[in-house]
Amino acid sequence: MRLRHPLRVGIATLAVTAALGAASALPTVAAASVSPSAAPTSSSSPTPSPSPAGKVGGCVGSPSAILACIKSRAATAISNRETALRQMTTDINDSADITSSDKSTLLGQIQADESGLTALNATVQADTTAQQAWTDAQTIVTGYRVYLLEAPKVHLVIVADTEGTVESHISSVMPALQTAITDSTASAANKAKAQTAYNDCNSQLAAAESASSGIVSEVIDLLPSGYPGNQPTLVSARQSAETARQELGTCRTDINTIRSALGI
Amino acid sequence: MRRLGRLGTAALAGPAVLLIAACGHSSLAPASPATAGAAQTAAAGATTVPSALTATAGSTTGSAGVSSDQLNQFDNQIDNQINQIDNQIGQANQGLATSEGDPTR
Repeated sequence: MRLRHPLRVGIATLAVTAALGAASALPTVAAASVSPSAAPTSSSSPTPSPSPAGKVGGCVGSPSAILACIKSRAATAISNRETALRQMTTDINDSADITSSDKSTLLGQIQADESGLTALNATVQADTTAQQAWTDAQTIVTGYRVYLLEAPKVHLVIVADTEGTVESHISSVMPALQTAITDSTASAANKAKAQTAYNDCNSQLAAAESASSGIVSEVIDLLPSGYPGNQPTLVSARQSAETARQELGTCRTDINTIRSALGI
Repeated sequence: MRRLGRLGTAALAGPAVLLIAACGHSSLAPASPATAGAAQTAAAGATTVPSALTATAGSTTGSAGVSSDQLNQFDNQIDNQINQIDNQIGQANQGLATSEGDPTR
């Protein structure tokens, strides 16, 4: 358990470095690593160290201890990601508004991730050298991007589809609201107030539709291999989702204004 | 394709609303306006077709033939969905703020 934090920090450092585009990330780790066979068998080292303690990532100790440490941490990392993927599956299945097509696509991607991570764990557990285990373990992050890519993608698709449903529902009731305003026996001032709110809601609705309509197509096929280059797409989609949300909220308030002004 | 289902729903619902409106009453029957924070009657996550679009007028009817009860139900459904949107945006934000260099999360 004492080695948990060092590995965490070590891999975090690697990932951040990679995200920043530092091409030297892997060589740095490799250089800092002590291969179980490198020091004792190096031809330039006629007198191998009697104590081949080293460090790979955040794991330190003898080669066998490092290997065991990496395997343990990798198993935990994979398990945590599998838990996150299961939660995403639940979120998708619980959404009443996600389209069947988007649901199918996302569930397929999640299933592929789960299968891949299960296989990756088997690979890491079968590795016989710390260096190989470390190399394989890094793909837990780089090969799946469960937290940075998959999770935001899933939630943004649910958001966009839910916003689309809200937009359709509001659109469907707008004609009735306009008729209510037109036929209302409320005072002229109240009718004018209702009409102003109605017009604003119409504008907000159109803006929300414009903001949310492209979100799914932008994000649903983003791949871990494209990260971090595709991260700005996620950020942009999040902004569009928030914009649509604000506009729908304003439209919702407008509907309250209409009802209040007309007394309906 | 994704939008066609919604547009189709709207296309069907729109005429229904207009039909109801055309048959509506000419005078308003005052009723309590809905509030955004009204208690939600629909189950979380459930999507129901707003009865305002398909049902006949209730006991309290507006000039468009849509009862306040129906509008309340519509409002509650929209509020419920907006709450879901807020929740999902919050979760997306968590992911975008995460550092995935930590494999022990």
